[in-house]
Amino acid sequence: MTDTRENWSARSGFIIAAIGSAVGLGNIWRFPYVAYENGGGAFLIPYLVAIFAAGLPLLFLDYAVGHKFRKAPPTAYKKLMNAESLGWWQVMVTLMIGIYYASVLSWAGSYMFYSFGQQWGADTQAFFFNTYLQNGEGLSLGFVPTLFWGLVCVWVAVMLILYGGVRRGVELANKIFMPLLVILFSILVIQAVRLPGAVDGLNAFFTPNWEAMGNYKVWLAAFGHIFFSLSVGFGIMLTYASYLKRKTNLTGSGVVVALANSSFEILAGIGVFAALGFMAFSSGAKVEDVVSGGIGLAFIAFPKIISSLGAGGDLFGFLFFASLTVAGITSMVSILQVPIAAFQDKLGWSHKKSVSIIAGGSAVISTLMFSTHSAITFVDIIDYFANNIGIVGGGLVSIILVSWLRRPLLKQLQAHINQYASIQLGASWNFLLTIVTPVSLLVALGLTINSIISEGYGGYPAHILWIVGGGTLAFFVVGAIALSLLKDRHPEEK
Amino acid sequence: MNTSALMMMIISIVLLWGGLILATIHLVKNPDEAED
Repeated sequence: MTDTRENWSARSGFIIAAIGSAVGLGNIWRFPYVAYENGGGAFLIPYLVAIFAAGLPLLFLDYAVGHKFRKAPPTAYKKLMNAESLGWWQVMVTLMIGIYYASVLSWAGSYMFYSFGQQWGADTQAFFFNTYLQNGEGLSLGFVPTLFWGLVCVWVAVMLILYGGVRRGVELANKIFMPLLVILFSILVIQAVRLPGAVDGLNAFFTPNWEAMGNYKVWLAAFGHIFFSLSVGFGIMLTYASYLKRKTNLTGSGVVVALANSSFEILAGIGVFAALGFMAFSSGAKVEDVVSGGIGLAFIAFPKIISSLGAGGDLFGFLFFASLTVAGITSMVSILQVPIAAFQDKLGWSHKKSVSIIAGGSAVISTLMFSTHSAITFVDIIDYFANNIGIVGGGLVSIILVSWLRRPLLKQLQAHINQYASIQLGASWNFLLTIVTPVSLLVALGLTINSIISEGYGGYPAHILWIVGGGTLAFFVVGAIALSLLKDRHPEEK
Repeated sequence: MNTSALMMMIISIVLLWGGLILATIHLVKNPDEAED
């Protein structure tokens, strides 16, 4: 049978798309905060150790499975070790992440336009929660038109890219958006470091706290961050590698992807903390009093910083939110490519049919759920459960199955990678995947479950956590079991 | 900037950006074999 699977036009197309997937919202709003909270400049040490001890070994494992079997997770894991349901778990996780990620992306896109004239006014927190999100008490499903139209725009853009396929859609979009992101963000950083007070922000970010190195939580934070930042362990890199040509140097490409992702994170840390230094300077506060991360940094702190800049803040705001939007779109495309490819492989659907049903169906659910008064509640809880249990749990099981329970497979995958690799994998890869990576993930998962049981999450009432968080996990479990029971079908004619 | 912060900033940039440049050069010097 001839191999009709789509492929990247060249290795560079794969690399730029993999970087586009890894560089997302988290690089801009998560890394700077995590690094600051965990030793500042000294965080570089656990961060580098985590890249080489856990991030790259797991990245190579994902590459090996996807590239060897040239399939998305369900079919690839079925062929590797008869573990199709593990693949469908990962597909369910990516589907759920795609559904809520669109929401955050639409907020960033909306704020890109709100930057002109700084439409959030003086109280950025009230604008975000009350005027923009129209956040309601508890679970309130009333319709919010502004959120609806933002979501429609995001889904139209993402589906247009996905309809183009791997080469003319995903690859082309990344070849346009990634250079654009670097240009936009570089201009932003240059502007930020010239602001008064920027030096104080950089001092806060880079001054090393060596005592923190003795705290195991700092090391755990570094391993956890790298795991999420590199998009490993939940099927994206596996799926992207399935479109590579057979004689590809996987290890050399992986190192470039990992270091490009980290290089962007350092740039983000400089830009964000220079801006926070200015915020402290202009409000007469200390940097440590204005530091924040995540949604609070992007939609509350940054608008404040932008407003402090006067009329010149419009461009600064546009650059920041455009960077978030562009970084987010390339990540979202990679997230949705996993379920699209999985259903193509399993049911023999054509590419366009898979995009229409999977991305189209996700768009409808996403638009219904996230144009409501509870959008931020859904985003917050689903994000926590999907990342900390969905991704970590799926990644952990895939490693344990290969490196603990079916060790001959590890040798097979190692041999597959080494066939054309410029950096050969040896006993150290084997050791890191057997001990370091699974143990760090096991500890992270244990701490998350313990925390949910003892403290709940985010101060939400138990019934909301059960409905939204429990519902998310039930979606993963039921989907993984039900879809793995479906019978495989032959490919349809295009 | 204070000395220790400046040192850590320079080391971070040299290691990560320098590492990226070296990894890219390494990759270019090791092109993939042509498919049959």
